[in-house]
Amino acid sequence: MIFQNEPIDFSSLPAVQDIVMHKPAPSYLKVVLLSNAFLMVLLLVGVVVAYFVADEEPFPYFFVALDSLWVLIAIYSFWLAWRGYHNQAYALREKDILYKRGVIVQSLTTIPFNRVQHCEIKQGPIERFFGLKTLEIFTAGGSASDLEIPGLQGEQAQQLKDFILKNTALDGKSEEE
Amino acid sequence: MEKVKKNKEAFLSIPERQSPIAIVLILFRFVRLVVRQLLPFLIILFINPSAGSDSWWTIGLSILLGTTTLLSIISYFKFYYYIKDEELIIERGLFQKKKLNVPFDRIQTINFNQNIVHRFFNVVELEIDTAGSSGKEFTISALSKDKAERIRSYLLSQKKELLESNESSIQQAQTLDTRPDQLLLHLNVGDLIKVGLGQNHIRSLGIIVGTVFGWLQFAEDALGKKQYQAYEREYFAILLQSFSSIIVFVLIIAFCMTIISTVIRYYDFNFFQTFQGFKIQTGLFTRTENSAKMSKIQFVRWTTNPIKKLFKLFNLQLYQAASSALSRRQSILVPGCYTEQIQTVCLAYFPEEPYLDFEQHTIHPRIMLRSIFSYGVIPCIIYFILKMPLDTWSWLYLSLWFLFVVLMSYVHYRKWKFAISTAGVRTTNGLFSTTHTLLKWYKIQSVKLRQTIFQKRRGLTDIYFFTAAGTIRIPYIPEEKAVQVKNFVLYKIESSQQTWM
Repeated sequence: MIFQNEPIDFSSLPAVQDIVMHKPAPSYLKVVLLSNAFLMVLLLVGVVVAYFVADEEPFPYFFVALDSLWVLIAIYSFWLAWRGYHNQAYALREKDILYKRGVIVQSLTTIPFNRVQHCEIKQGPIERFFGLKTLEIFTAGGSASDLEIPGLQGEQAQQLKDFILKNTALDGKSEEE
Repeated sequence: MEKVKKNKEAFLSIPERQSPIAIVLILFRFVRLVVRQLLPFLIILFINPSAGSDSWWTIGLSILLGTTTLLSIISYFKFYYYIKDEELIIERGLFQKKKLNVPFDRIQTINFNQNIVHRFFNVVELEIDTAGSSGKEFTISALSKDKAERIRSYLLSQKKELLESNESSIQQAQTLDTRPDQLLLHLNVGDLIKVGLGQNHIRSLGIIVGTVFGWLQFAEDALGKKQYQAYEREYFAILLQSFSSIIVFVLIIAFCMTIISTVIRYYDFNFFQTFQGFKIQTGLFTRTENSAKMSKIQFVRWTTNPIKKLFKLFNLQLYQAASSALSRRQSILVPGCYTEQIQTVCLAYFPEEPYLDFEQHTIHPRIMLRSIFSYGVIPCIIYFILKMPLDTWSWLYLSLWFLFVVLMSYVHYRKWKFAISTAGVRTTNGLFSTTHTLLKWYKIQSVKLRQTIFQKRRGLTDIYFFTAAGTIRIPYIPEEKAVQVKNFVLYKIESSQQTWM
């Protein structure tokens, strides 16, 4: 058997960078901010309960410090949610799907269609209120490599899922039937 | 049975039960579980019988034992296996009948396991691994050895016939099939002692410390608090005086323990090359046989450390595709081998490797700053805040630690190397030990570039290759290079018809 493997010029390869990225639906920003707000309220409840339960402060101005810490966390998490919304986007190409996300730590994941195992659509309670859905894409690469694309409008999620599954089928290597 | 065997079509077409030893096995498992859970209790009872004067728990235990015996007998009678329409079928279930079926072409590997009870009765556990990622349990827990052997060879031959009728290019496999397993390596007790010397001793140390504290707790319970404290006062002073010799003693014990456990775990270790992959047999009390088909192996990794280097030994691991829960058991681990075996494995996994040009790379020195920051600066600041007025000794410890971190960061940076070719990548890294990894591009499931904002400012990024057997990460490489590699890898995956499994 003769092994053939022609050298490839790197610059001639399709580049990941210059393609149109799709952002999540505008109402997804509300979902993100609302769920963050819920979390912050929950934290605040914790602080308030601690205030009423505690007999004395561990050190002077303890609760002032705790409150300011809460304010700082709230500001930071809202900023993170806001930036996070603007930084995430997905793109479809002929043979793979790209997804970028992250604020402090930014990542760009690419899954070739011929490595997709299966897809799932899920919907949380807040998402349901805004009519949004999340598409999960699974590979054999373990949970770290699975993708979650949130903020897809109703049919869009199904369309995307169908498109991906059609392409995995086209590749026809049928690891899963 | 003989009649059935002669007629090949009808092999196992009549449902059969497993060996009755299965009942013994279930009971054995139960007793072991009880003993493990109740060990402290049983010991206290032994030392201080009055604690067990209430007989309610004895009754409880015997009821439990009786029920288990009954249930295990029933489950034995409800368990059947047979072959129908090119599928192996297992029927089981106490109250609810469950039917599991494996189509022959889904069978990946067939393993035999033997624990001490299996060996006593000369039976084996048959374990069938399928391609599905669901990680379904598919085992027949007791079969006579030659029966198991017959089933295995039948299943494998049927699977092959099936493949032959489906594909045309399988003639090669046919000729390969007749080749017997080839023994690559055997480790005797002498080799295993060498291997044991180079294992990680810190784990045994942890176990010893944990056990000692556990036993002290038992002693306190068994003797009663007052008496225990009297003993403690009496002996604690003596112990403190000989503190350094105790440390040496514990270290020696830890050392011996690793060696003994290594010998037990890898007793009579055999490493084979089979017609379709690799196989290991290992263990003194529990004898396991694991095999890996070549196509299932996702990447190969071998490690050495200064002690192992003295003996020219490596630790070699073949990472098999598996659902995460099974992954530890699924990978084939050779605790000690030589360059020769590594070459054989690499040649089987990556035959074209020696003929390819590999482009050598190092990572960016900025990684040193990150490790110094996260392991040096931050811990020092935390220590400083917590122990505010620092005495001379603390300053000394702090600066020693900081120096150590700086040195280690440099070593880490210098050791990190990777080499890229058109078909795969080789990486080398480590601190005290040195780890080499060999990965072929088409085994990759997905690729991720990941950078912090600090890395982004410097145009650096980490690249992650996700495979079905684990993740391989190369840190701190120039963004431009990472994008090139990524594009190339994706091109390779998307254009190649090779399946990763």
